[in-house]
Amino acid sequence: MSVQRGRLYKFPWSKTDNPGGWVEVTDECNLSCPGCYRHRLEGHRELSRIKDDIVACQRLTNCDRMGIAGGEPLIYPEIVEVVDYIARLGMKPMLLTNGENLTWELGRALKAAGLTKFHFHVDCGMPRSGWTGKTETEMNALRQKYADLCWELGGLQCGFNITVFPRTLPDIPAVIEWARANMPRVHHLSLVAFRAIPLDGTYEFYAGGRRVDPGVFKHSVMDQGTIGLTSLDIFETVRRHFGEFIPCAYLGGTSDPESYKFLVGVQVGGRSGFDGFLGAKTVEITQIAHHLWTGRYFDFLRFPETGRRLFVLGLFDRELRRTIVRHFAGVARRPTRLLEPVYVQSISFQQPNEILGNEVNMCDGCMNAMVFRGRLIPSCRLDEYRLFGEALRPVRKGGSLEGGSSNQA
Amino acid sequence: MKKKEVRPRQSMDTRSLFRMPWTMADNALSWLEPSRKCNIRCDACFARNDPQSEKTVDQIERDLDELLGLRRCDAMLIAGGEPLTHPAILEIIAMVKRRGVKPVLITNGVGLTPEWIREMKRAGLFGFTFHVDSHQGRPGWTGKTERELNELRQTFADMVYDAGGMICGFNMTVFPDTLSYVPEIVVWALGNVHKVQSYTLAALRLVGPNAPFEYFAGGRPVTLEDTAYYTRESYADLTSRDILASIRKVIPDFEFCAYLGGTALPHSLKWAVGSRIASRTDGFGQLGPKAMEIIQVGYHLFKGRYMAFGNPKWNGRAKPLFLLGAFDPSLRRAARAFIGKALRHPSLIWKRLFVQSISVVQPTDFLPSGERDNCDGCPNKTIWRGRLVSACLLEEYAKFGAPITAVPREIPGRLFLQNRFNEEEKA
Repeated sequence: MSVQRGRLYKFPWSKTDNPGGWVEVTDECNLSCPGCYRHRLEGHRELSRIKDDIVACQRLTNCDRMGIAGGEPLIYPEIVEVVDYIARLGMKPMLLTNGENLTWELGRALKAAGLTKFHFHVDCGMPRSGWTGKTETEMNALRQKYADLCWELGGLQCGFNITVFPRTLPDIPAVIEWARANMPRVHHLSLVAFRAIPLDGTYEFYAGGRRVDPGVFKHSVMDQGTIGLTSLDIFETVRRHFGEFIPCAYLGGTSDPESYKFLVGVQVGGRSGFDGFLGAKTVEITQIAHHLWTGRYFDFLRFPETGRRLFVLGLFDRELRRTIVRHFAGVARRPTRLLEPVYVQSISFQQPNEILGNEVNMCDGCMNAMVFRGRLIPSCRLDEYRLFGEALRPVRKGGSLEGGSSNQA
Repeated sequence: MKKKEVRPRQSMDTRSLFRMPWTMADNALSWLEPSRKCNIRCDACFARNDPQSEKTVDQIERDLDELLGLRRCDAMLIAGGEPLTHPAILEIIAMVKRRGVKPVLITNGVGLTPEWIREMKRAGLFGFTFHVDSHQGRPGWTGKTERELNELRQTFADMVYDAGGMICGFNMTVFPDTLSYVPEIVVWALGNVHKVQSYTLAALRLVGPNAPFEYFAGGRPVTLEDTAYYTRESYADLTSRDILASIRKVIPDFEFCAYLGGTALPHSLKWAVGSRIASRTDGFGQLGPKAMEIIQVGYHLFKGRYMAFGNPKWNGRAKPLFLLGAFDPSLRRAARAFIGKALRHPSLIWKRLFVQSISVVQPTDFLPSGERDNCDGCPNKTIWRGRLVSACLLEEYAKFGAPITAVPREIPGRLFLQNRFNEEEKA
């Protein structure tokens, strides 16, 4: 295995001390993506309730960034006010959007309200007008459009979310290649393995001791083969293409600490090219320094253009030292590179919740927790709470009472 | 002159505390059980006393390696059952030590002798946590109060102190009828600050037939009547806040500096620690959240793991900690108190200062919805069939293969959006 856990930094994030919070403004969407876990139940939410949830989420999680999601948040009429409210509370507002409704004017208004980052969900599984039937590699053209728009708006970070299916896995290296060519404009890629509730009869599902029908969920599938992709599968695909790719930090699972629910590699480079990676020690030092000074861990820094001051941490980080050597070797070949800014770009390999034995293996340190009826829940399971009042409890059919590990699943 | 009233500077709001950065895979502690056999029968034990449960050294070594493969930790709590009943206890201690982890015994201390302590020290033992309370049915000590049991605590503390070079801690399950004795235990421990580095006060948790739940494991209904923690009445009301209030009767300015929250209620005080700075005669204050944060993350940066226990060599050398007062208001207050007293009594400069930690634990709770509130970042994870489980739930895995889930007998109005969803589906 090319990932050595002993060399990775385990993020110290917990429920009450976490960089990420999450709020949903609507469950309506202008696209209908296959496998989406959000159902249309409530429509646009009242602004006052959204504000209450934002305050409660900040209070419960101590978060540094607040993800604004849905549904599609850009169709919410008062989205600018939501962004403004989050920014005034001292958090970094981040919009998770499919981008369909984004215009130059709306982008400017959101930026003026204090938006820090756009996180665009773009993949070839989405039924977008004019983009159906495209490969993941061809979707880079749409990503470029959004990245350019953010760049022109200025002062906004840009990330992309890609749901990875077994059929789209081979195209992922081409997406990373594209991201590397856009270091100044693209600051984050989330590669998320597709997950759904299995309906093949392996499990029964219970809520409050009663058996319930999981077939009501849109994100349920008959064939478990489509939901078997892991973050390591995606990482290995990337690693085969970019032999030097090094992850630096992770979150494990709540049931299986060996699973990589969130595995991160951070690339360093500039307009003229890629230099290398950050190592675990740099991530550890920056996380704890941020926490010591601000009292909060961070999801992303406000300015991805870190400059060469980042290189000071090479004193403690062997991987970063290698990056520095490559950087200055590049400068020696082309001295004008010294005038170019240095950026960081994070690539995360994510594996949402899955069933192991009789338990659901969640992210230990989930950074997308949200407030639902005054309590903190993982946002990926919101509809279980909305429909059944609590998270579903899977039980393997056939009476096996034993738990399992990912190796057995 | 009117004595100035000392008030705690913080309320019980966990947001003013440092949330320990401990997680499932990277924690300060882990838990190893060589056996579930025990030589006494405590009223509130969460493990069934099983004389046939003794593991072979090979099995224990496999458990240990699996555990350390899944989880980084600073110290390994060797527990049970009673670990001293295992004939290969010295080998087990040495086995943990060889892997670079601090072996700490959690024991009732029955039959412990100074010679045995020295042997275990030679094997590499880092220290002891003695479980002593008045609900243990301990031979020769039945019917004694917690106050009288301080004599037994003193015996153990003296034995470990005489052997030297090891840490000594105590833990006690707090029952409703022993809560009032907590102040006397605190006073005893403070009087032994040079011998006792830590003590833990854990709130009683027992389930009974009057609990308003039905229980399930792996989807099947189960009964708890033959589990170790079933009694005729439920005891689940005592909280860590009650214990804190009891501590504050004798240390009015006592404050926690760090905590772990709950898995269901993130801000419930499942595990909290306060670290006092004191000489043998005077208390000066305590570490604040920032000091604890710097200690934890600094240790992790250099050692690659979070700190469970300080080195016994540091015992009595706490003065350099005042330097962290540059970042920590609580330590600044302690430093000011120390300097103020030293100006009046200059001999204090040469006296040793100690750190003594008081931990308060509120074990698993069943919420009215039936959901369980466990410690988020549980320090007592152990290995069960190749996976990490909480030691306090091990009985459930061993008996039912899964943790128990509870369902309220009267189900509140859930499924509140189900009807609307069904209507929309039909539409």
